[in-house]
Amino acid sequence: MDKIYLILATLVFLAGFVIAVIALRTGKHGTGRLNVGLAVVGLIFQCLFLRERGELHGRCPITNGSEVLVFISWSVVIMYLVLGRAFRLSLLGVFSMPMVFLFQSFAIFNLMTNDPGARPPETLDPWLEMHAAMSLLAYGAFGLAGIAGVMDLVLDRQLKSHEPGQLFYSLPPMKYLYDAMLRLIIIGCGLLTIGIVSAFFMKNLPDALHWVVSGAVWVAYLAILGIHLAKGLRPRLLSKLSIAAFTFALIALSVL
Amino acid sequence: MSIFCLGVNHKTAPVEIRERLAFAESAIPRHLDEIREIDWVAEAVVLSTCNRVEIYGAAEEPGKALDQLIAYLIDHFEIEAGDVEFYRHEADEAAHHLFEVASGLDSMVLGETEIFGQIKKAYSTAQTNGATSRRMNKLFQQSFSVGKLVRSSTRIQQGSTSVGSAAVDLAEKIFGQLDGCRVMVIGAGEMSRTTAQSLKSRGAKSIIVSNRSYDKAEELAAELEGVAVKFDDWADHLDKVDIVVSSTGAPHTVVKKVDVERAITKRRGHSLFLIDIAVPRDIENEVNELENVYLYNIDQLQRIADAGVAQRQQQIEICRGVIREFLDEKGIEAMAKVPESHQKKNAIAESAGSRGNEAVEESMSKALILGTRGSDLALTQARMTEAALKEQGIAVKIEVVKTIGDKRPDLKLSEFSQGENAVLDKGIFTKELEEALLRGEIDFAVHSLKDVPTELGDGFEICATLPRADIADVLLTMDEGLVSADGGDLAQLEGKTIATSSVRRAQQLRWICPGVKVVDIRGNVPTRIRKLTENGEWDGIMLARAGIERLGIYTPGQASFNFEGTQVFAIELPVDEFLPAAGQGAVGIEIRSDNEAARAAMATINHEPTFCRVTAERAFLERLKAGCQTPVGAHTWFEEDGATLAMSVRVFDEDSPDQEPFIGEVKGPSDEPAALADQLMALKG
Repeated sequence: MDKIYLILATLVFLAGFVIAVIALRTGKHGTGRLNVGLAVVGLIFQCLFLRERGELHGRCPITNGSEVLVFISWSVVIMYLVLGRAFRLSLLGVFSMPMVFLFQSFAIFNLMTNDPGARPPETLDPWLEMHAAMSLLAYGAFGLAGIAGVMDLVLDRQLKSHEPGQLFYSLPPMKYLYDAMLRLIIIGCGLLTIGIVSAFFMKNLPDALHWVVSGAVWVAYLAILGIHLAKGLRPRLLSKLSIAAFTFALIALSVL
Repeated sequence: MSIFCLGVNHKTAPVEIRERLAFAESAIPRHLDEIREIDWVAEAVVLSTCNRVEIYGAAEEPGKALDQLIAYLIDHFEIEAGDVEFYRHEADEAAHHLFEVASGLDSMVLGETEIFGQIKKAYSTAQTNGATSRRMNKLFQQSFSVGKLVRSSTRIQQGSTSVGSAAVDLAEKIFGQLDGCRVMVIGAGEMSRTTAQSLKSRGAKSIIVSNRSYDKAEELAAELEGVAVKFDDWADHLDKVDIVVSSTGAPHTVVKKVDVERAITKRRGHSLFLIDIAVPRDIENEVNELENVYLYNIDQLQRIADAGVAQRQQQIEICRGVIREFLDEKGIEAMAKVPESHQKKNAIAESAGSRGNEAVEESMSKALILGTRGSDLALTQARMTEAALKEQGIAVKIEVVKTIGDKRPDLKLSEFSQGENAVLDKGIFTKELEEALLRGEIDFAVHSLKDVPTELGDGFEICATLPRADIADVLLTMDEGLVSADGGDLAQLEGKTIATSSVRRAQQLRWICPGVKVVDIRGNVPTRIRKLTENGEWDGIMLARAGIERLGIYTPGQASFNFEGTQVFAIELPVDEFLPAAGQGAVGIEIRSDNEAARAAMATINHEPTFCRVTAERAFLERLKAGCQTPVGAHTWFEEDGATLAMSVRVFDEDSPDQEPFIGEVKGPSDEPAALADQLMALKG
């Protein structure tokens, strides 16, 4: 049943993406509420999947790559629904959906072909759960910052070309995207810091590679914030750094 | 009891009629009472705005009520019955019309929102005065719902529709809300003022104005509640502003890449938006290559505005679909009426006859591309043509083409036919447009007809004209004494220096007043007036009245007008004393002779009397083998019977300026305008 929930969630996000793209192309507005509704439905299916997997393992369901991808997708959707709308960046959902769809499709394929099954913990360590959950929530914020960066670069390209396309009018102003990127990175850094600090209290401390890779991601994002505070990052550079840092974070995660 | 609507709007009545029919706001309650005293009228709402005067009501017999209402309006506003044609709608048609009005589909600027508030106010006034009841209440409440629904579910409001709004929209796309944005205006001209005001209306603050003339900078700064800075110091403030509007009359670039580079470094990554509305451009194009710097010039802004207008046009049917869905859903009878645009298409197709039917259908199915020069006047004329075609349901896209006349502002017009430039003898303002026609890049070209050579290249033709503007020439001067001395008596110009680019005007001036000194002038209309106001060497300049009138610089009958803060006096010269150029005041449309679709579309807007007159005038020039820069004056008019066309000409000898001109006047049937030219040639010998 867990896989059914995941497939349903993935199909719902795909539908939301397709509807949004059609609306953008045809000029038929008023689909914003429908998209948010679909995102909420998708989130519910994600929660059901994660609950089933949580019950299966008897702990937080991030025991394999597929579950980690679903958990990051879940974080992105949560961040979009909570922060994206608060920042009036409704189009962030449209840009997030392809990533969520891709992550979950990959997860479905993996679970269908090679589901490792239940992996109950020998002893339940709440600090380990806290470490993993906070770190992956941070990935949601970083992912959304990267998506805002992509939107900013698209807008910059359209403005520079002097030929605004259909998407131009639906994109939020550059200033809002810049502010959103900074806030998402700050939130992500905060969550990742909690995750890393939690690791110090775990019964079994992570290995050296884990510390190095996690620390590198943490330092990368702190460096972005530090440069911004010290010199003021140019908007395009912040966008590029957001995208590059999230790509690096994903690679780092795959190493772990 | 059924609802009705009676009215005129910007499409059906000129401003002269609309302003006479406009209801004074304070008098509306009284009018509402009087309207409801008309037999059969039970409820009424009066909507009176700049662009429309409409009365909505409910009556037992709407047909009779409308007849009486028309009689009331004609009587009250003292207008001739034949001067105004009201549109009248009943039942569903009236509801549908109001819904379209509330949605901005019937507005001059498609999709604008101001009308929504105006309808609310009109309804509120009627309701407060007890002029509405169940039907009007339901109708107007529904119109508000429809207006909101259309705007929220379509893109009818999306995109910019003017250069000013395009600039402001782009600024908002970069900075979000403009509250707190700092603006610098370089050049205190009219365009700068308008754009800065648009930015200010959206919240921009701290406006800095810099101008070569510091007085003017101070004046504009005071108007915009900003501060003036010396022209030499503007670069020092560049790092402190977010938006720069530049519109100087400088012949060279003012803002260089190095200036912006220096400023952007100090701005710690904050974006900079530069709006260059000057021609020639003020800001180096390479500035746009800098990161976080966005530069837009007048053509780029115009293209965005054109695209915005076209996009809104495309949304009309979607909006109508929303209205139809609403009406179906709410249980009101579905619209049996054929949409107006379809009716119009059919009517045009019928009028074009069987030969043109397919061509018209073709032109209706896609936007025609209008080619024009990029000057303010040319663009104004292009938009007039666009508006006329759109009224016929024909979509138009404007494409600006630079001609050699625009590219070489350093040459006098007369010099284009001399020396190494001789190749440019004729068509200095039309050659590139014809090349674009030939390549199929544009479907038709819009010209000031007096600039168009009489001998067009093979395969081209002038197929239509818009209604002609006034054909008189105007003498503009800063010298009030010149005006008050004796109106338009040119003899008083003895010893004065007058600037003009036209050899016709120069020769006539010298002929009428031999002691006048005539000098050459180039540049577009605003530039020429600016040269007059800033250059103390000339006593006056001569221009065509039509040009300054179309640009909104001058209102006919005014003794003077304000140009960029300076009072300029205008003397209109009587056309029978100072003969205009052939085709003066006329906007001509040129097509490729084999483009049947364009020909059929243009036929729908051709103004036959103008076409007849300019045909006679241009035929005479053609017989003379004269070009646009030959000193010939030609004036045509219809005799009282309406069927006889008269033409008066004055031909100067290019090689012997002191020789008396040939003067001739003939009359003939208006259906053979070219025959007048032959008669005159026979007289000339």
